[in-house]
Amino acid sequence: MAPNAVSSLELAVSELKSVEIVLHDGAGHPASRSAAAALLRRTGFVPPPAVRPYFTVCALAGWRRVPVDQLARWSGMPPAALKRRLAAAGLTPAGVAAWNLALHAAWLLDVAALPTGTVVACMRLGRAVALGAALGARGVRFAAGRVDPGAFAAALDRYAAVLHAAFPT
Amino acid sequence: MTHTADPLRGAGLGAGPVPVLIVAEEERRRLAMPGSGHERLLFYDRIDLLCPRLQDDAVAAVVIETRDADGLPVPAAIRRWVGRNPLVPVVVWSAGGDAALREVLDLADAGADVRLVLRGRDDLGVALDRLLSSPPHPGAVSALLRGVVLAAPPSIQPELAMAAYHAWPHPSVHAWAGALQVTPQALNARLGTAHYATASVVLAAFTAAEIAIRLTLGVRLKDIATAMGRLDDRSLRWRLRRLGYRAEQMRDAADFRALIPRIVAAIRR
Repeated sequence: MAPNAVSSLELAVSELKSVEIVLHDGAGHPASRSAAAALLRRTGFVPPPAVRPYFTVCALAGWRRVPVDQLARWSGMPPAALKRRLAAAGLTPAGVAAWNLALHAAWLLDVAALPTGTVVACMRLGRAVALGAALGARGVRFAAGRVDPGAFAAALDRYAAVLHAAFPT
Repeated sequence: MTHTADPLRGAGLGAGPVPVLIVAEEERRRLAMPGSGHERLLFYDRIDLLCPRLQDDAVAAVVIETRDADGLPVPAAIRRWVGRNPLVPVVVWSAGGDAALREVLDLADAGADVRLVLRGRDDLGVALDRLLSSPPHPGAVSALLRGVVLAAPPSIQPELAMAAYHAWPHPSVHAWAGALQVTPQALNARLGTAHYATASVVLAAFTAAEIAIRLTLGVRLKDIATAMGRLDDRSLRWRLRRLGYRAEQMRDAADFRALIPRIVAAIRR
């Protein structure tokens, strides 16, 4: 597990209000920290404790593409076990990571109002078409370098609905 | 964002509180530091907390970002409220992106007196100090946004909205283009594609509106020239003449309203 993730997880889950403080300075664009905080405030407690660390890591690290196995390692869960537990809820580790990547992209474009080129660079996506693909994969419309106003909030609503459906209380 | 040394002061803010919806923690800390009238600032980071406060008692002004801490659009959430309170200045602190400018336009369409403070270019603290101590007159911005910009094709509205905020007191095509993060040449190309005149023609027409509204409110042309940093009033007269007006013809609000269609026509190619 990455050294910063060990301490992050407990804090992030138990003190979601101040989650920004656990994100180290090198974690992407400063606006990505706000995105992670908003994500965790809204959805942090929806997944059950058994899989919650994975969701937290995805929210924190979703500002760039990270292999699913790496995300699983950071969350301290064997990839096979994670896959099995999420499958019971109708989710996949890659699907959760894709949601978080799309939400981070939507935040940077819609909330931080950064130009497309800046978002592509700070998310290390290489090309604008990759950004469009990341957003499109979760139904966020991206045309002419823009997302619709309120795209982040709308996408977060849909993500929260997916999680509530997967983990009914 | 501008309005320094304006010979035309605003009527003054009400005595009520000033709700501030700013997400960035460091900016909130900076604004919360002691200053003239800063005890009136009430800080929020979520729209569901701000909205009930707006409904409570009369607020003197409201300061917002375009999104709250949860990423929810703030202008859309307060649109109905600004429609009922058109005299309350709404200060929008924004990077001036395309979407933000469209949301500013939407607020203006609802009747708001929107003041734009550009993140990274203007100092929000200074703008707030000025607003709280001696609020500058909104000038012609609202009339330009409603009468000229909203009448333009949607594709060019953000650029024209930014022009309205750069027409006073020191009109500069360079600053206008810079705020849009394009070169003046690229700005001219965008305007040309939408069948609009060059940036300098557009800005001169918008500045004429700023001059005209001050004349109709009784400010002397000489004082307007001084506020614009001009040694004499020749360039001001030239701007009005391009729209077919003389300074002496600007007597009241009706004269100013009659100028708006002239501006719409003058900036089209």
